[in-house]
Amino acid sequence: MGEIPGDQAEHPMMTRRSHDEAARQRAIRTLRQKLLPRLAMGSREMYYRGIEPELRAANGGNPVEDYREIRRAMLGRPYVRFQLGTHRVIQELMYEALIDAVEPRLHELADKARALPRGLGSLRLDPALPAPRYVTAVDIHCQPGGYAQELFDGDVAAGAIYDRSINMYQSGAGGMTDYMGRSVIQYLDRIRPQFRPARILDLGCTIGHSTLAYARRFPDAQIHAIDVSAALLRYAHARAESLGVAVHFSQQNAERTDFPDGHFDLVVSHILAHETSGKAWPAILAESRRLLAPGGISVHIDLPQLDEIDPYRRFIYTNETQFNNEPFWTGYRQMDLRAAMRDAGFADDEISRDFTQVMAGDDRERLAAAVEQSRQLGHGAPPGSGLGFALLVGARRGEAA
Amino acid sequence: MNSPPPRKPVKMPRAARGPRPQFFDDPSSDTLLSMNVALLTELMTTRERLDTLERLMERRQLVTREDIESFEADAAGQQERERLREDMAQRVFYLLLQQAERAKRE
Repeated sequence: MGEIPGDQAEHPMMTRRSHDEAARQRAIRTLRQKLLPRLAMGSREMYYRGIEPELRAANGGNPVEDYREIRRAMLGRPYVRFQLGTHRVIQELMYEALIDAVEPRLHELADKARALPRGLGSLRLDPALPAPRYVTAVDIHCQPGGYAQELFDGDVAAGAIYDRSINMYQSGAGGMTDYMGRSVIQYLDRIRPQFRPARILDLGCTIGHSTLAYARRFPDAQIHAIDVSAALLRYAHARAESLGVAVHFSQQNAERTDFPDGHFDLVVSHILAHETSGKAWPAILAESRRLLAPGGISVHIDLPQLDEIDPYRRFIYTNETQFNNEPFWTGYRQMDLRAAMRDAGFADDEISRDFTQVMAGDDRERLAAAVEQSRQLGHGAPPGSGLGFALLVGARRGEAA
Repeated sequence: MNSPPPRKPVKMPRAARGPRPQFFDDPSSDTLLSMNVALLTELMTTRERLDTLERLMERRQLVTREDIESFEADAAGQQERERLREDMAQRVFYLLLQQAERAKRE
């Protein structure tokens, strides 16, 4: 339909848009994906050509290690303030443009979410489940109302907003916006080409966009996905069913689920860790361990820890905490993940750390653009590891059943 | 036959919970920046609508509202639009981009 290659594929659950609503969303996508990386490159040049040599000289010639020192110096530059301020404004405008299209059609969307499911998978909601404080304290990523918003019984607004935000935010997410799931699958195919999990669980699945990648890769597996938000799950369920994929969605907190011990061969999460808390994440790791069958594997994908990236990237990363409503971002990045995995019950030789080589894009040209966007924004892992998402892996010993 | 009562439009929250960071010493500058970027996106939106009209005019020499609402640019049109948006972003952000260029040169 004349879309730019790599654009998000339309599906029946997606919010309709008028001519101008669609144009406005494309305008913000262009600013986010084309303008912001260029502005960020300017800040980077200023750092490496001006600020870093000055800081190093003041440091007696020693390399600059403390990102807070970098931050102080960078925020002294009006250019950097404009760059970071523009970044924030574009994030806010992204949600304005998305809500503009969802708000007038919200009842229609809720009706569709009720009508689309055709009994392939299932949806189990628990109205008594409290949304954890780390989800409700601030609106994560500045999405107004937050991911657990429930404006009325049957509400799907949070899911509708989230779905179209993915491709506006991240180029190269793929037509099905499942790049995170495909990145984990690419890793599994690399380390365990013969792996055929019978049961798979996706933790903090939001709209199930990553979840569906597993259904495609492992068509015989039974797939479960949980989240704390009913609005996201209703949307996820309708979306999956309309795409002809069977997934069993349930409203549960990943810190403590109602699945039996050893129930899953594969437990995954995608950029969930840094949205939780210092108490919740270790609990989620322990729950992942409890749910693994002998020979099973858990893979949690997120961005790298602070000690895995250079000091300038540490400065870029930590901006997310204050500027993009990511309260646990910096705390998570400083957490000793290996110790947390040991406390969760994994033996030392069951724990591993890896980086994705490239994002598993469905279009080579688009993938190259995504890696470039990420590089310019200053994200990513050590050189040579591509876009550089980091994997925290726990592989339970034993023979698969 | 009673038709169901019309459902009340839902008013969705627009302001995200959590403190809004201030990037400039004078908060008015933050507001001005936000207005400028919002204006830019509106201009981009209007420019795209104009492009729609121009393409329709070329195609049929007659335009209705329905024509505009149902219009979808072809692949070449989409690519051209992406270029227009990038060019406009560059024009409005000319000063910052010049500063970036200077930083690279010096």
